[in-house]
Amino acid sequence: MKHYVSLRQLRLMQMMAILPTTLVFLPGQIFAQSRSGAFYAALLAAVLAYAINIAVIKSAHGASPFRLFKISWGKLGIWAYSAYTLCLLLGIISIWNELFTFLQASVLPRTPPWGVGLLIWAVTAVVAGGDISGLARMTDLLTIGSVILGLVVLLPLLGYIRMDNFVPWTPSSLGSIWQGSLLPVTFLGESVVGIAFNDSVREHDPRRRQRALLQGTCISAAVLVGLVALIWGILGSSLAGEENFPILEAIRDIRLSPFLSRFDIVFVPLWLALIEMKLALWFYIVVRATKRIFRWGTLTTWTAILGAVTLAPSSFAFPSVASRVEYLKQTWMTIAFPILIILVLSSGLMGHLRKGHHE
Amino acid sequence: MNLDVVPELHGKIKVLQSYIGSWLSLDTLDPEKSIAVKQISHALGDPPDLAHRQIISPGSEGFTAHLLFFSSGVDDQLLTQGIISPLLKSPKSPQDLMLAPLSSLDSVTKATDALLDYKVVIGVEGWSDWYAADASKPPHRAIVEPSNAKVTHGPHEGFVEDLETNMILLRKYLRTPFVRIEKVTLGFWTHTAVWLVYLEGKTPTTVVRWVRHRLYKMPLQGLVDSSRIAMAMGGPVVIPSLQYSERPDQVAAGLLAGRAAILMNGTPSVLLAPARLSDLMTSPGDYYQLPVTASMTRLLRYGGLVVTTTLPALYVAALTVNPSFIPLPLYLTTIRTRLSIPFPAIIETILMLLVVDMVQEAGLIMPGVLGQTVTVFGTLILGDAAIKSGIVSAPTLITVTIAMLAQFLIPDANVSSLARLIRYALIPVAAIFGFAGIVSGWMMLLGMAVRVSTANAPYLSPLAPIRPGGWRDTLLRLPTNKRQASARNSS
Repeated sequence: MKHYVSLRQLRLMQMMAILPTTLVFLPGQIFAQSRSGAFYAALLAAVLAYAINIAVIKSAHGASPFRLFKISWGKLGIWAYSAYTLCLLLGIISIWNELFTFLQASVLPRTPPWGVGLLIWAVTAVVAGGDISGLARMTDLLTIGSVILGLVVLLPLLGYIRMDNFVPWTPSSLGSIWQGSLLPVTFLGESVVGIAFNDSVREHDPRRRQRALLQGTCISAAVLVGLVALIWGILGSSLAGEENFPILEAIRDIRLSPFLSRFDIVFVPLWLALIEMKLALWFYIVVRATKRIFRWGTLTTWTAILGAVTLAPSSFAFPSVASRVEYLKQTWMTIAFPILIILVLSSGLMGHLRKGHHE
Repeated sequence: MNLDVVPELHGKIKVLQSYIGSWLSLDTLDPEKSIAVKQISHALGDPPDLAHRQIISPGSEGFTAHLLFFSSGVDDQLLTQGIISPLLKSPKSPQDLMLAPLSSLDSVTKATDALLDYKVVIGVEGWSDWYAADASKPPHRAIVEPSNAKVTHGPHEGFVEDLETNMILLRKYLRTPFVRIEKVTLGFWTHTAVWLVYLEGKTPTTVVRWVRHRLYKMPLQGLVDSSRIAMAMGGPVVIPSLQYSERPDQVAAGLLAGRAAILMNGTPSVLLAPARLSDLMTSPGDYYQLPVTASMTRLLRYGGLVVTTTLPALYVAALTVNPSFIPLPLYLTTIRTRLSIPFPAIIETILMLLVVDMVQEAGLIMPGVLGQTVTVFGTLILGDAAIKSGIVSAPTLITVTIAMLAQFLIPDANVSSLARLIRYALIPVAAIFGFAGIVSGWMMLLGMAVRVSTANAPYLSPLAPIRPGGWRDTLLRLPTNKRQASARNSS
């Protein structure tokens, strides 16, 4: 029996489709909205995301949207398919924005974002061109790298936790917790992306595939909750709420010796590699879908075309960090993600109804 | 019409004629032995080193024998005692020669093939056929330890240029009846004997099939070294996908690990397939050390690979795009030494790398002591003069030297050359994009490497895809009993 990728790799790919955003972008957004309630907002986001992911994954019946739309939607399948692809493209613009925000805000100020964008575009084309097994192997490599470098960064960070930062939250406004959890839910709910990899593990049992996808999401949710708790302990909720990337700020505080004063040198390359991997994973799905819709081109060609299409607005249309974050919230949180959820859930519902009808 | 073409064409027509004649069995040997001698000699182009001896027996009237052989390729003692002495006794039939093996020849092609195998071709007036007797003793060098893979402990034998000697060296380690050999002759002009060797029941069928498929379909005109086979077997141009070895113990270990070996006549370099990066980063000496020290050596080696490829790029990135990433005292010291340097960091680094590479290549080409002199002169004197004259800064020289030293940690010459290429490729990207460029460059390289597989073995396994337990003999080398326990657990 030939497996293109293993269930372990499916789990890791699902995790990798979420992890870079979880590491860098989400904690800052949660603290900005919820302040001292950030930890509870992260917990709430994890619970809500778990519920959404179960619904999405169960709706997919262990099949990828590629097959699901075709079976459940009949002739309308191609439109559902196109809508799905379009929403993921909006998601890719969000990832570009996330990357440029990171670069522009603090990390690599002397490299022009569009320049890095071009470079990453080429990397994504190469990595996504490696097909599903290539992506899975890259995910394996990056997982090993993440674990090793993550520990290198995490262990010194633990020494900077101050217990007096853990100020008890007084339930003055539940709304802030709700507000703080919304954006993370949409990112942790990215099993709408991960289920597309089901095609590559179709010879495994559907239930095991569903479990693997859910586990991938759960790992990312656990990382988010842990990270928010860590930042809370190191920076405190007020200071963390002021920062776009509090984790980076916390890492910069590490002073092992006068010589090793910039510890973020360890973290930034890791995050860059992870975001490139995330882009490659997303591109792979979008490109496969586009290729199927238009019945033309190769993976690399479409990655190049769609990469250019999504890179252009991200590089030039958003001049500031604020506008990038605003786009991300408005487009991904309020438009793309809900549509993706509705599409996948209604696919599941239609499939269920059809099955009942045939029985 | 260009008249120079005519002799070229004439030669090609002769080759074609010879092959067609052999194929249609038109090149039969003349029954008259003296004419047949001329036929054979003419077919070989009347070479001066082809010896023709005519033996007329004193005892029997009319007994005349013809011997043809390449004088430098036969064993004189065997020729005298095993062939000439019996012939002097006027034997009645070939069986009376009592030479084994003795094969009969009926065509010019077979006779020339036998001669090229250093056999003695015998023709006796009155006998219908010609015969080939194996008295070959081609010149070959002694068995010594290969200079490119020396070990402190462990066996000190190395392969030589003779295929059969190499096989015997290999059999010393593999005293099992399950060694399988498949013979193939490659090269239109060279007719080189190539053996595919594997262990029945140990080497997966997929691996054997993969090698066999590529070996049999190899469109090679001539073969002088196994590197031609490696190149003709396909795979990416830059990524080495087969392993070279000149050590019988290493090849035996490879066969025991389920790999296949390709031995070629005329070269001591044996190819092992499939080859993963972890195989290429392993040295035979690792297994003759204590596991802890061997593990440390391996970690150093992988570290060396990263340092040699990335350190110059990091240096350029830190000086040009991302100065904030290195500690301020270090940055200030570096900048202070570079104030009088006329070149930008990227040019300075690339120039220094080129100079050191030139010195290294010159040191390799120059013989023995002269090579060492070139290296010492190139590195010590030139480096010192360059710093004193203010052309190159000391930090640049230190960076380049560390990168070059780290390169020597890599045991495989092909990986070492690849590391050099990566080093040059990363520097311009680092100068333009800084650290982001280096990370992206590595992502691109890894993205290409993960696609590569030889004989269904992913190039970066057991790291990608992760094979639990596989890393125990990859980055580290755990004791054998622990590895076996791990293998039992994973199975």
